[in-house]
Amino acid sequence: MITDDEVVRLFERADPARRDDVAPIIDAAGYLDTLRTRSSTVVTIETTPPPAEPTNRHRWRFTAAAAAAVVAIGIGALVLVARDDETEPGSDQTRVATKAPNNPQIANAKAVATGFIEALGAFDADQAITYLADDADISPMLASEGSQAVEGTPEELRLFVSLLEAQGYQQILDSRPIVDMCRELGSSAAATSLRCPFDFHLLGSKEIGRGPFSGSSFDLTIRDGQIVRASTDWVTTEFSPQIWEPFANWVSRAYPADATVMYEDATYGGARLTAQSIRLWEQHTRDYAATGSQYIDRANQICNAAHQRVIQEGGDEFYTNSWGRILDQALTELRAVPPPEAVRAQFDQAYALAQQMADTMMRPRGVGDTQDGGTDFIDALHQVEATPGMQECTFHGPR
Amino acid sequence: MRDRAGTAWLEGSCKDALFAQLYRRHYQPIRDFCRRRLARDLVDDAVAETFLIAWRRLEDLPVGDQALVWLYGVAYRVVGHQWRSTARRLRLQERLQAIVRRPASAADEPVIDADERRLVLAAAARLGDTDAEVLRLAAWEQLSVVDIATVLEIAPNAVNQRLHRARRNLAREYRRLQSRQNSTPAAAKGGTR
Repeated sequence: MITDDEVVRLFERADPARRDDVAPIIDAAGYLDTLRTRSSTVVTIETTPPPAEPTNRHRWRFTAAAAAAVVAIGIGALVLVARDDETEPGSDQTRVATKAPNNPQIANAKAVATGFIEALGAFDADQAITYLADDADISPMLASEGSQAVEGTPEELRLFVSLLEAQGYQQILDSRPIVDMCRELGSSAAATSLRCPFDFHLLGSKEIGRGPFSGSSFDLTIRDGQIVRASTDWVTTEFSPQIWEPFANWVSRAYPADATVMYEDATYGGARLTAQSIRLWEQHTRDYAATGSQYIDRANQICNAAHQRVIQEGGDEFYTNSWGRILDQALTELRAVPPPEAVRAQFDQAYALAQQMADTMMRPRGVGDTQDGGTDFIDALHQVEATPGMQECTFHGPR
Repeated sequence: MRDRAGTAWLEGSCKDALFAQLYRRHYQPIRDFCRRRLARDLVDDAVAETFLIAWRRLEDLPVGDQALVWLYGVAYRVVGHQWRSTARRLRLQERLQAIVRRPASAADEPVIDADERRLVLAAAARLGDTDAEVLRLAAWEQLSVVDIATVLEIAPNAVNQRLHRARRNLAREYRRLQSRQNSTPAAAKGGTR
């Protein structure tokens, strides 16, 4: 039977570009002229001055359900231009003209969106509020952490920003200016809808070697230079099992009284937006991250020492019996202190896999034994290596 | 690339010269990148769009080898834009199928034969989009995990996990297709491989 590695090598050799002749390269100057012609519609946007800062500060009306309905109707009235789908594939000019942000309304909307999101990331609620229209509906964004009975008031926005800060939120935007950070979802004469993706760390995920978590986004509708609707879509496929749920388990067991204040209910699916709750989120996030990072540091020290022993005593052969014994001893030392909740799942798995590695190394080798290169062994090695604090326990690196 | 005061210094002929250098150095890798993911008649267009964006954003281009990674990131989005268009995607699938069915050139491919190539590409087509892209970037663009993470805007750990999963699933799908092929009457008569 063909092995995994052989299939991967087949895939490498199936590279379609290998079958092409080298493309004749046009001279750069000629190509540049062509590009200039194609991008003539873009020039205006590159010289468009940045939008004026929103002038309405601290003006606000409560929005609640009625306003949400009004905004929904307004959004429904937008002629959402699905540019991707309606662009004629055969027309270069059409595509370049529609793809390039040569519309001042869209450019301004993107600038407003960027300013708002950056203000959130900097925990500057007052600055964020300056980008909002009087009747802006931001309740979907404020409720995005599962908070209930949110109306979308300025005070709630301040609490929401404080909650993010308390939870150690780190917002990661696309720092590379490849394309605009925000993508246009649709536009009408009056309003523009944008989707702005971001990655994030939360609840000490960075400190415990998890994340950043990708794929989340803000959806913003901008009219006349002001945000009229804001929502956040958190993609929690990885975040929830890795961070949110272990954190909730830990808090609810270790501090059950606090958990009732921090969470909306006993499902632990939503954070409560109150000052008292936020104080507890800050305290427990800090403790949770600290216990995790201390355990990672400890593991790193033990694995480093084991790696040093392998270098000094391990002999010339890779993954031998003596390497296995050293790893086994390191695992005994590591397991002497049970991992805290913050890192328990990843360390439990890493310990089990590392133990398999150690057992394999210590097993007498027989004819045809592939223990040093078997797929399972290598898979285990890669997974152990991916566990923060455990890298050195794979004994990779210079010997 | 900006000066310490943060003002763009690239203007006029300086910008043109820098673009020419970028273009000469990276045209072929970017064309290959697009060729690997698009039908032939869409490739030149995608390359042009990639370099158009590069020209407009020349001031922000990273220096050194990272420039190519940056361009891959642009090309990835340009290609993705084309793929997301439903109408285009359908047409593209037809074209890709036509390409896949085409026999391999013996002169070009001394090792892999047409059936193996068709099977392994079909197996790759069964992977998830991001897993397949991670595999392509690793196998065809020969990018490091860190560079793949940069292009796809995901964490290096996630790249490692996806790469591991993609390799395993690619092999599983390949074997499944191979087994199905070998069980056909043509194969039984020795007509397939």
